[in-house]
Amino acid sequence: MPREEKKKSAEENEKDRSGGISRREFTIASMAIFGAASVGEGKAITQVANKKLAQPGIASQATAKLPLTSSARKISLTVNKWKYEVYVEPEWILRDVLRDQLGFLSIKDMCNGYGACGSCTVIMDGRPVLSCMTFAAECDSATIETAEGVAVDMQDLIEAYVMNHCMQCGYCTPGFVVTAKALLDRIPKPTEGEIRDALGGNICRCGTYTQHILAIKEVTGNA
Amino acid sequence: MYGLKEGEPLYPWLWPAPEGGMIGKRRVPRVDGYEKASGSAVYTRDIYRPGMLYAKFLRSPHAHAKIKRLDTSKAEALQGVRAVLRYDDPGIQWPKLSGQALVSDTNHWYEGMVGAVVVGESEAIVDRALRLIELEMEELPVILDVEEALKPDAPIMRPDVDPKSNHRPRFGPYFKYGDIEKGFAEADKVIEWKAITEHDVWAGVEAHVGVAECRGDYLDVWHHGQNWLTMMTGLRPYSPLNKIHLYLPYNGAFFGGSSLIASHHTAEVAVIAARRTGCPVKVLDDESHFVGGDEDARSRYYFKVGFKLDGRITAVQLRCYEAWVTETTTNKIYKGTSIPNIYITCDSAAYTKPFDQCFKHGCSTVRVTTQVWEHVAGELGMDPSKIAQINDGVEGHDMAYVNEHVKKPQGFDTARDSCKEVNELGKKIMEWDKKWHLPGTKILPNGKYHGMGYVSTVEWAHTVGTGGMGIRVNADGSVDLLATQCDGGWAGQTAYSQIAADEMGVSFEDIRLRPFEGRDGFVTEPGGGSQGLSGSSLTTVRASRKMKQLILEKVTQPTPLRRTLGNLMPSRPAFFPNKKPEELDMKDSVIFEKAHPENKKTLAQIAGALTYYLFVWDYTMAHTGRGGVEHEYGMVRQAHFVEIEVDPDTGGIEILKQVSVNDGGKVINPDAFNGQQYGGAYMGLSRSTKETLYFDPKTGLALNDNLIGYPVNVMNDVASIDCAIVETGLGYAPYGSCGVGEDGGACNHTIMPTAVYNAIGKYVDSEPVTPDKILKALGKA
Repeated sequence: MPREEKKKSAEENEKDRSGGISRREFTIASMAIFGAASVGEGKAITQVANKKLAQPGIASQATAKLPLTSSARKISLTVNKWKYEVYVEPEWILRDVLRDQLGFLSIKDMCNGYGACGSCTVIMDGRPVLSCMTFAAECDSATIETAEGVAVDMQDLIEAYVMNHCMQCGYCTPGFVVTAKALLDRIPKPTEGEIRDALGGNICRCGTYTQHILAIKEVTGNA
Repeated sequence: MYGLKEGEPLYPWLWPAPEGGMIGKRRVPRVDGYEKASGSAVYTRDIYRPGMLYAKFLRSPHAHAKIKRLDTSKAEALQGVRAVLRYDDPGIQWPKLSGQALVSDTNHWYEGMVGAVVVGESEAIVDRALRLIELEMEELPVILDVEEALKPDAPIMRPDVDPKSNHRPRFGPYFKYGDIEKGFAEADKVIEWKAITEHDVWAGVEAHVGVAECRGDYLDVWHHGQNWLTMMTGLRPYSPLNKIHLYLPYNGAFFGGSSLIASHHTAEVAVIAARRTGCPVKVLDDESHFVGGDEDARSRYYFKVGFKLDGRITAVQLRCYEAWVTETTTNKIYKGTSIPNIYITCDSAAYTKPFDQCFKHGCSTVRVTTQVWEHVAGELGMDPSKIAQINDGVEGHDMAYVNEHVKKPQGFDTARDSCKEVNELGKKIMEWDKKWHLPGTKILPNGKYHGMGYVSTVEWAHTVGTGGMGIRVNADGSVDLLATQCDGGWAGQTAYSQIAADEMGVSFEDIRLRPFEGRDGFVTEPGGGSQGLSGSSLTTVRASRKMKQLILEKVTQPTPLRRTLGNLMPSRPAFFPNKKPEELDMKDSVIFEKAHPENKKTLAQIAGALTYYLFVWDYTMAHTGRGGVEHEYGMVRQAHFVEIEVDPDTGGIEILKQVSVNDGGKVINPDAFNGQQYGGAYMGLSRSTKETLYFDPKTGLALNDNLIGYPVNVMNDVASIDCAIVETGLGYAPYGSCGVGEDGGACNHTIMPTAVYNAIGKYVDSEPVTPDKILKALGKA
């Protein structure tokens, strides 16, 4: 089934299940609400943070106590189309800033910061990068996409991941999703070899590797 | 028995699975799939609390040492440090489990043990404080080999435990079936050999973490583990259990009892630190991936096996060290063969090896059958799959006996032969008969050896388990399955929902398993772990049937007058007046009259009025009462096949193809079932070919304890994996099903020596089978 057709069909199916409102429509509506608050203002982060604060156990700017010294500097980031301004110490890594400061918890750490597992992958300025190996201070003005953003922008990829059981414990899955999205941005119809090469650096200890190939092929109509 | 239909077979394994519904269907969306793919699934590491502090461990920098001086004063003085909890703090009783401890309670330390816990306002502060701790230690002898530790002149490693000996009996002293001497006397040939394993570790995903928060007398705990009840029990010292809320968020890959020591104790340390500081505390054990060792790490196996020239094995004698080849871990060579005479001893020692982990476990016991098939086949020049078939049986009896004395009285189909079926299917997919050859006889045009490996054993989650579950119909017609968290990654939530959907007649989309997290549901047996679905599906079926019966009863009765919050709620007429429950049915959340299907109401339509009444629970004890049998036999089988090339110049192995065939009895979710097969294959082959920690022989310290140095399989390490399912109905869980979760990871862990032997014609019975060992076997190193 062609990708657009498939996307539509999935959306219609979801509408049927949820009384006429699809997840995509809901998400778009939600983005519009928060997006209005965020136009041109880095302070919009407080909206997100406060929103998340209402849920027990979720990180927020208010709860992450990190010391700031005179070496700290302000950087601006655009994450999933949201603009943020944060103060970072020179040694802080991007992963921790995105997780602990901004609450993007899809970014995981499996290898204890060795850059070995791919779980912390984000798309930065169009390229997949390991956020555990990247200093936040070097990312001023960067545009970043995380799995939360991919879930909004490429819903058919997420659906293919769900239907093909690309996750078991799921801890590494956002890293794969982001890497797959970066691949599809670069090569819309990748071959199996290109998929294997692109995802070859991500570790899944549950061993779901075969399924990622199927999901990506499915979403690109190469299945 | 309430919940079972009239005239239904006595045993749950004989209950027919509902047809045409969700059970057995492919492409069922995982209920946890969207959360996990979109990054919104919450794991314990994702828990943040207002005012939360962070804690980390000071671990022993030596493999074996005593503390002479531990000065934490500078760390304590650092701004932002809230507490330093020392091993010798008289106010703290550090947790212990089965005699093992994460935090040392003496000045005697091993690698991985903790001597102090630093609690501070940020990870950065804690890291800085850890560097300020001054530690003087006296290094003690290091013994890395269990057999070295058992020698008479070996230094005593733990004089505080036993001042005279390092010997520690392990789950023994022995297991004996039949008459071993008689078995050797009957044999045409007796062979002996030794096999060893090195040191593989969990190398896990979400490193251990625990979060605790005190709220007056109450205690909230977030635990990274898969067993709610065990953790809850472990929290007894800290608060009355009815004042503890224990949450198990999603688990970043545990694969089993890796949780036993390090993980449980991490949560307990969080509780101790939260009590001491009065703040929520998150304990981060970032190094835990590589602390400890698999249950059969550094094992030694001494085999002596007698057999007839036709391949029938008459006696297996095994003396093993460190390995868990025990009855308690289901000894596969006994449970799943007709070998009549078996004698096994298992021992261990105090030596330089920290905690035991078990992940996708049972490798030790699978290894015994794999090794026996390989060596007997090798001696006889036979195909090992034929040796497995010849010796197939149950607890010393052949399958003819099992058919007559087990399958018939217990109602199983005597025509089904699981071993034969998995072997035939696997061999067909692998083209085994075309590809298999005598060991060391096939060199490919590219100059490489070609090898075929094989392992077959009993499926070990074949029994029915004890479990409990509640079911509630909400006012909108949605349904909650109430049970403990069961996420081990194996799609348990999805599979339970499939069973409940079909058994109740409720739409799959309307059902969610609501994990017991302190505030809802029942304290029930976990749905995850080794038994998994086979353990808890019985209670799921029974609770679902109870709920369906309750709904059909309630819709035929008027709703009585009742008071709610002082308001008088009027009675209302029955939704199906003058009908009996048996005249109605429910499918896809629609209740209808069987004779007049157009007379129908949706579950959502009736639930608003009846939600107060639509609540059931079930708790089923296995092996007791109606539907239980005294003994459950392992009649379901699995077989795994691998095709490799071995480079004679480098010793490198290339895995060309892997085939896994499991008999699931009756498979609930084929996609999830396959997931355990290919996932297990990736992990097992990784453990069999590359995973090991290397230790410095002088210091005893691990040299590659990180994911850069410790190799694990990634996407391109296995060219092709084929999974196939056999359904013989020979499991003891409802519908004749059995679990699959442990199997592939453990079985494929033992497969590579068989493939390499077939390739090069030389035994390399040391795992992982690394290139240096192959070159040595070829006389090139």
